[in-house]
Amino acid sequence: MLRLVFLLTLVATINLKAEIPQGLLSVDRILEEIQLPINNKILQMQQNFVETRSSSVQTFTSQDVVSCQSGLSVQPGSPILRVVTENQILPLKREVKTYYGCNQSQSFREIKIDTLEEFRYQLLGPDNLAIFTLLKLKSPTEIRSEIYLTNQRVYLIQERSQGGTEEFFYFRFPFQVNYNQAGFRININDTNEVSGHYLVRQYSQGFLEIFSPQGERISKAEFIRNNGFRGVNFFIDSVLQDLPETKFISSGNQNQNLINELRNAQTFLLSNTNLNYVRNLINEYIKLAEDGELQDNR
Amino acid sequence: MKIFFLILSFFMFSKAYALEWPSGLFKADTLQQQFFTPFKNYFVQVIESHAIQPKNGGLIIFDEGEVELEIDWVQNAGILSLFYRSKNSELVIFVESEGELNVSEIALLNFDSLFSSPSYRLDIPKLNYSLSKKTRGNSVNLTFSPAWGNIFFEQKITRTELESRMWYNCSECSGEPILFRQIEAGVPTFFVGELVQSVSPQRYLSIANRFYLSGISSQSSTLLSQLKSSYSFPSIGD
Repeated sequence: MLRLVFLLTLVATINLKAEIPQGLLSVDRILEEIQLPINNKILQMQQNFVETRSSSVQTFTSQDVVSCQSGLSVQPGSPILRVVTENQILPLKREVKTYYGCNQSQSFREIKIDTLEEFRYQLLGPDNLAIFTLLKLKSPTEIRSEIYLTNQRVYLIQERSQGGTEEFFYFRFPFQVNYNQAGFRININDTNEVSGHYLVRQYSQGFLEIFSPQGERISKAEFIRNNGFRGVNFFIDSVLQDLPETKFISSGNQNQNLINELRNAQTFLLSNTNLNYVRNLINEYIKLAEDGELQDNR
Repeated sequence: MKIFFLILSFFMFSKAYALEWPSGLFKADTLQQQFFTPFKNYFVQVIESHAIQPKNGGLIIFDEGEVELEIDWVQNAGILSLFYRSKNSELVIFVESEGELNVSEIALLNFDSLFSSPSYRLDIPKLNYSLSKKTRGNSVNLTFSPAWGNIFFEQKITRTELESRMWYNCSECSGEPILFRQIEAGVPTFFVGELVQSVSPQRYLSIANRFYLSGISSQSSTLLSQLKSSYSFPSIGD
């Protein structure tokens, strides 16, 4: 009974919590940045190769010899990628996806655990050691999100609610990762010493008040410049190295420019760069649509 | 079940006979969007690129640690007064509206909450500018009033009739009045000039764009430039 009351309180409290203000670094955005290249790769695999599915296994083959990025060649009909998915609902929601690439052994693995008190996403290498971990701990008074590269904590974001005002504390830790495993290598070096933390306060009207670790009031743009999460793309490229080269295929050239522009805009949004470009691009699309030069054929 | 079919056929009937406003032809909403959007876009960029400090009934905008602009709002007897103070100047904007206003948004020149209001008046006395909207039954009137005169827009939408007209009221204006009209089971008709001469849709739109819409847009950019140059509104690196 006590547990039930606690859970209900937790649900109610968590539901009351505000989202991290738009445009600011959040673990959800980091997760998106990690998963997007993997999802895009699978989408391209579906476009470029033959896919067969059973309830829990997705297999990709080709009728030709396939050269993999790692230098391996895979004979026609042999799997170039297998994705094995295991799902568990009770006692906790857990999904494990294991990717077997060109060399037929585990290339990487994604583990996702989602409960009322915790959300965890892990990306494991061929040796089953964590390369990237995202951990979100939810309690009635705060949400605490942590990011780890290998076993080093690199980011901590705490969210608290205080009298209608939301407060977000951003701690960034210096780190150095040298990860070398058969097939790929990761070298990340971020030794910029940051003492203290950034504080973002969101008021009920939506205004943001932001303070640097030195206690100075700063703009949202400056906060974003100092609180990006760069390097992840390089890291993911290394993880996907055991998979064959692929490319996006569109149905024709007619929309290619539009697709390219939208992809670039998506990248800019994810990396919080060139936001003015994105804003102007959207304004341009609105104008084109109003003038009838951009047609919606859905 | 019968009631369901009655309701369904009523909606189908209404839809079948409702006149559709021609796409590409501006309405009161389009004109308001066109006028207000540059202000909103400007302040979005100001808020992103400057440190801010919310305060009770106001907001302070900083530039490199110094106060650049202080905004205060007061709502009294249905009139919202917005004060913009910088080191050497002060500007006041008055907003009077029948509808509910999002005060903190309007203070940042985001006027979205005004759109749904049936009637409002926006006054910037120091810039000699006002804009008003009035709704009477099926008619909506907009009046843009820069220092040199007025631009009027009137729109009427009923189930059987659509009509819009635009005209100037000033001594040195160059645009002729324009009128669009469509009645039930008829085709859209377009007229220009004091003599109400029938013209093609292309000619109508060309005059509308050249003498009215671009005029309204240029008023927004002129006002924004004045706010920045004469009233020290923050620069956004443009």
